[in-house]
Amino acid sequence: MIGQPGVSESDEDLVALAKTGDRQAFGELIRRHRERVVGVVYRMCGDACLAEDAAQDAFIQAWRKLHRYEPKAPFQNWLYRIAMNRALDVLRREREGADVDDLPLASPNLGPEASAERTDLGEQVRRAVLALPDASRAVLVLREYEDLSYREIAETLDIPVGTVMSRLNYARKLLRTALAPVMEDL
Amino acid sequence: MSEQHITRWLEPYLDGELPGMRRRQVEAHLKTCAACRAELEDLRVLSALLQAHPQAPATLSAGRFVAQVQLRLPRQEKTTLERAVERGRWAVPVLLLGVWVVVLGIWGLSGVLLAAGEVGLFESLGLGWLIPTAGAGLWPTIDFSRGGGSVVAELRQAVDTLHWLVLIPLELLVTIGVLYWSWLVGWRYYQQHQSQTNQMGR
Repeated sequence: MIGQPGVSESDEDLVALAKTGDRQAFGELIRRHRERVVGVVYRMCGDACLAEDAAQDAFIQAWRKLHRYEPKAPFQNWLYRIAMNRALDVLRREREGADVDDLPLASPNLGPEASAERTDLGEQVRRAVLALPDASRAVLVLREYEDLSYREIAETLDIPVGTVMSRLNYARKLLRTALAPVMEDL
Repeated sequence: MSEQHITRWLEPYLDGELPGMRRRQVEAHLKTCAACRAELEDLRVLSALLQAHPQAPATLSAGRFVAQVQLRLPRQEKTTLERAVERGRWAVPVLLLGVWVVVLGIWGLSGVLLAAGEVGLFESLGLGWLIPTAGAGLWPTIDFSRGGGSVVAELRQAVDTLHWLVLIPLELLVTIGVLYWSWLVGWRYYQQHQSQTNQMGR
């Protein structure tokens, strides 16, 4: 293949190129998966700036460990694993430096309409998701927003399928309680 | 909720994780159980509600995000094989050179000892035990007294001497040289292959 790696190439082809040190091929992989990786981290840590920083770190870590990736599982799921770990690191660091109550329950860059937005449905959902325990939230995010199967979630988070089911059940139970008033209105 | 209800299967059912047989059982149960239907509906509503979660507000454009990551990309970690090859680049020739020096040194020393023994140096110094005897020791020794004076025997002895003292070290030197150059050629080929792969990727 000669020329710039492009959209026609599969993730596996790009990964193979990136493993030889091709930064442009890796750039194409970043372009493809940036939005989803940032999304996963954002839903885990609830702060857009932190999410972008952590997502960048996740991609850099992925680049470093690329030789360890085996294309048995989709590249995206492997990235999710790294991104989840980065997100948990960020949360841990934030908690060490701040009181639990100071954690970003509301996005800091909401702008002048912040107070109005905080009352809307999306904001209530965001806060409810963010209030879940980390382990349950990770499973919920991968299932509800990334549409991963139980087995894929188990492989991504390195936990048994039974644990995926119990954490998902727990997360949904908490969410149903937290969002009960909203659900009744629907 | 009674034991007959199938609430524990509702979430896997909603998530499309139940195998055919179990799925049909759940569907059959749902037709007759209003409580489980209500429970399933609640889960569906929750799942739909969760989609109202806002997307991450992008603070960086895609291009800027990619550029920032690419600027921070360090050198990739090398695989175990690559690290071994890197180390071997120096270790193999040094090892071959070491083997050559050691073997040649032993050979040279052996030759000197034989020659010294032949001229009676050891006996005059009271070191007769140092004279190598045929069949003993690590290295094959040459019996200079063999042959009984005939021309053929002397020729044979000269060939033997030439063989042990010159040809074998020479063969060894050539073998080590071939191995050394083979390694260099192999290394050069590996380097070229790596750089071609990198260039093709661009």
